[in-house]
Amino acid sequence: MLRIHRDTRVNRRAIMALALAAGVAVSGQLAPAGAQDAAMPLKGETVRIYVGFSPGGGYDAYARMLAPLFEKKTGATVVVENKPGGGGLTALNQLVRAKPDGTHMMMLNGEGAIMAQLVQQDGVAYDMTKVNTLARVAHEQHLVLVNPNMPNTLKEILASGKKVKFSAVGRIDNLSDYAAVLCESLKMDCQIIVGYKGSKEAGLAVMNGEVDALAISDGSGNDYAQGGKTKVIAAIGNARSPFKPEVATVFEQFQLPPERKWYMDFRLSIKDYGRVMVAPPGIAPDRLKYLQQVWKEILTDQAVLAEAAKSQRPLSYEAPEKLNKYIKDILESLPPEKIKEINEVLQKKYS
Amino acid sequence: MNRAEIIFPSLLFAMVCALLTAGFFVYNYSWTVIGFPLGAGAFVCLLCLFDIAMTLNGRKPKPPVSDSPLEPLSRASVVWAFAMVPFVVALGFVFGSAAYLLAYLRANGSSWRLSAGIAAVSILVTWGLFIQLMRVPMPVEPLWWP
Amino acid sequence: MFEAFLSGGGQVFQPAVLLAMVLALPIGLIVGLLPGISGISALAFLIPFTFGMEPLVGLAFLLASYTAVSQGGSMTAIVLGVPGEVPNAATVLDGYPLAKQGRAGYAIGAALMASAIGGMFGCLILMVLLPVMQPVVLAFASPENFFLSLAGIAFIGVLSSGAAVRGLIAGGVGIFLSLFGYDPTEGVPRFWFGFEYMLDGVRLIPLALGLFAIPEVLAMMSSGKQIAKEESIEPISYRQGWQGACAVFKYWGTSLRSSALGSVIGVLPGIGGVTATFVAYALARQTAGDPESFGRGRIEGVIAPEAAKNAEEGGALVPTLALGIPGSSSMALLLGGFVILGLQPGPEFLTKHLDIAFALAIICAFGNVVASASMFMLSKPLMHVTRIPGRILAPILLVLVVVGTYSAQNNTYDVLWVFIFGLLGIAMERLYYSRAALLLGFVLGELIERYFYVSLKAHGPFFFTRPITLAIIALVLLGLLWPKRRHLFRLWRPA
Repeated sequence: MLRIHRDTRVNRRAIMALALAAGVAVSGQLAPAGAQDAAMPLKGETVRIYVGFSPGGGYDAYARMLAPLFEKKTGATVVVENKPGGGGLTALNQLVRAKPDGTHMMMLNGEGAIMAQLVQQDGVAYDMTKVNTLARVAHEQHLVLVNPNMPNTLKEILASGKKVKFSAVGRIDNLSDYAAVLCESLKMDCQIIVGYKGSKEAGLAVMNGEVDALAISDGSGNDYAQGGKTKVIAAIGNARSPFKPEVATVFEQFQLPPERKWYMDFRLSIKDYGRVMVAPPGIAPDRLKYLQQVWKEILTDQAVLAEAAKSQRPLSYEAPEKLNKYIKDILESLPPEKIKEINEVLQKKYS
Repeated sequence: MNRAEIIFPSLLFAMVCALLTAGFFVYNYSWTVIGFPLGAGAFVCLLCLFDIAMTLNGRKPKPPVSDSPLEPLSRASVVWAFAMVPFVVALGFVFGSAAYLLAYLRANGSSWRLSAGIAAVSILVTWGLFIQLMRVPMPVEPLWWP
Repeated sequence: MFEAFLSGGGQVFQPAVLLAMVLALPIGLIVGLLPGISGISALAFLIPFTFGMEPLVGLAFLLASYTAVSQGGSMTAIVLGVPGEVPNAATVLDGYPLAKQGRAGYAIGAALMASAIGGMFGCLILMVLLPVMQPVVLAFASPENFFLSLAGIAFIGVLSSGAAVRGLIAGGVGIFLSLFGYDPTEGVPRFWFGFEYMLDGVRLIPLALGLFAIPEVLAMMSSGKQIAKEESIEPISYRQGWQGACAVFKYWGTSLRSSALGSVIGVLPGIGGVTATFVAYALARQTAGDPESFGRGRIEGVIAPEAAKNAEEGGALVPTLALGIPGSSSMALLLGGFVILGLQPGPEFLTKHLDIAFALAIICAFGNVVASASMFMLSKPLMHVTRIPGRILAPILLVLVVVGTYSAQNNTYDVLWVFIFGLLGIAMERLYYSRAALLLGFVLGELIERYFYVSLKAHGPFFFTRPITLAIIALVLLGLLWPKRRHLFRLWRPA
């Protein structure tokens, strides 16, 4: 199932040739063509899955892993198109302009897309409240990593009163925004140093002591913590990370009053949106339902889940209804003063 | 040649100044944002002025490969080179390239057999190698097709 | 550790691994010869083929194809004057003039042998130092990277013999262009003027191909003639290539120095292949006699960047394997390959899988040698390319450039920009502004800004007073002033 895309196509051609022969033989008993098309409306069509990053990255890997599965379920031909640019958002801008008939989808960094719209970043030409969410593919827990010379717990770091330097790539890159909400909730004296080339360079900065800490996804965080190069001292979330089950969450370590906890909850609700498969606004309701159903079947299939976990690409499905609610809560329910305050915390306060 | 040696640095100077001015006064970039461009731009502008002054004073730079001087470009070649763009827009990457090759090779003295042969190979390479084998999502249809 | 070395070696010389390498090489060579397709695109294309392979077999496949792609890029730099990848731009400086003199084979032979030597050197360094490299890699932080990038820029003036002011202008323009798009500290896109394409600023592939390929295409279309000038025609044979290969040993000082430089730069994760090749070139120019003849076909000008480039890739394996931090952008992709194959580079990897690490180093060295040898056999047909009449070669090259540019990022606008930068390239070539300097400035400019701001914020305004940083500054000054050393010495002495 997770064989390379090319192999699957070759197999599919062979199978289709056989099927055709068989179909001719039993054509008398086949259902009328109309009903067949209704059951698989995308059969024979070319479907494109956009990926906003260059080949080889995480989103690309997920898209290429899921493409053959979608092909099998719908009979369509799936092409993964890499459209790097704008931190992954240029592809989204292009997606919302594409034909809304189910032939264009995108493997999206949902968190980044929401954040960029929230802080009104230059270059945002989409509206997440109108984009059709098909399914959540995965979501990442975040961990707090520190240099081995730092104290072992957040409590000790806070008690020392020292200014904690975090490394990050950009202002809303899943590194700096997690660090910002952490510092805001814990009232920690922080400096978020933005400008590293990538998350690996940000990790290296913690290892060589240039910065003290890093808030990073658990998969990467676990890698960087190997061999004692960095220490994992907290999980940012409501549950512990499966990569580091012995590390307590921030909420377990601290009893936070509601107004301070708000920032963490806010960021975590965006995290719950996660990496999603989306489609342009304006798709016909029955086509939309079909797409959502297909993805649900793919992403809840036990065999698929097992294979994905084996190749370090764990899946965690969430239904579109719930995901739409997250969007609504984040993007539509917040008053403008609160949005301004969030902007202030995320972008300016800790620079 | 002398005129071009003044026009080029002048154009550079003008473009850099225009961009920096736009950035500072129209887009209101902060100091951290405009800092490096300002530094690099100022460096370029100063050196351009210096270069223009040197040219006006009659100092010529030593060409790097003096034993084979650059031949002047023919107007036809410039037109042909940039003609690739309308071919590709009108007929797409695969067929536009093939058509361009056919047209250019025939117009410049190659036989029908060679031109058609090379055009055919180009289709094999663009469609067969790039699109089919390497899975590059290059559109086969013309670029003006919606 | 010796057992790990033996075990690694034993694992390499298995039929499946060797077969994978043999398969990978021709694929890599062909891909490398296509302009616009860089090593990274090739790796990205090949990674899906490794699904289902045994870890070492898959890695052998990827590493071997990668070394082959690098060789291909050097070939187009020499034969066509079009760098296959940005680091190859340094090879164009003296390689292409040699091709124009009808001595492409000489340059190719030297380039291939230098690549093989440099690659082996880098991989050997890898093997020897891998267990102890961690503290070295960790000693280099943003301030050191800042000054190393600055060092690359400092040598720009060296690149443009006789037209220093114009070389510096080119470098400055390159730096200026690199600053378009998102700024690293506030994420504000600079000079995008509402055009979505410009959010990411100027793109590298259209710039490099536009600057180098379009002027060559135009020159060929104009004259209709072949690349190799009629007057100095030597017969096509393997003899030229063999002479070139021997030149690497004749100029062993340059070869060794460049390999060492490349390996060291490769080990440092913050600095990439461009710095290695250009600094090696500049250093060769500074230390050889008659620096003014560089840029007209000095063979050291081909040996230096080629040795440095391959040594750099070998060195880049060190931080990749030792820390899981990619030493170069191609290593980043390779890391992805590792993960897919179920391995996780890092400190644990070295303790648990030291034998695989050694196996990789051996594959790296072996791959370099075999790729060079295979390419050598292609040197005769490549020489023939320089004898194809321009009126036939030019449109073919143009088509490859257009298609190759599109393939880089699947963006049609990239193709448009190739032609726009082509205009710039034509003007620069005719007015003696160094295009290599612009490219170098472009690649390093963005890095310099990043490292500067990060260094300032993380270490404060005196970040340059760190010991390693001061050492780098001293070495760079030494390198720049080396040709003038007698002159300066005389000035310094009172009598």
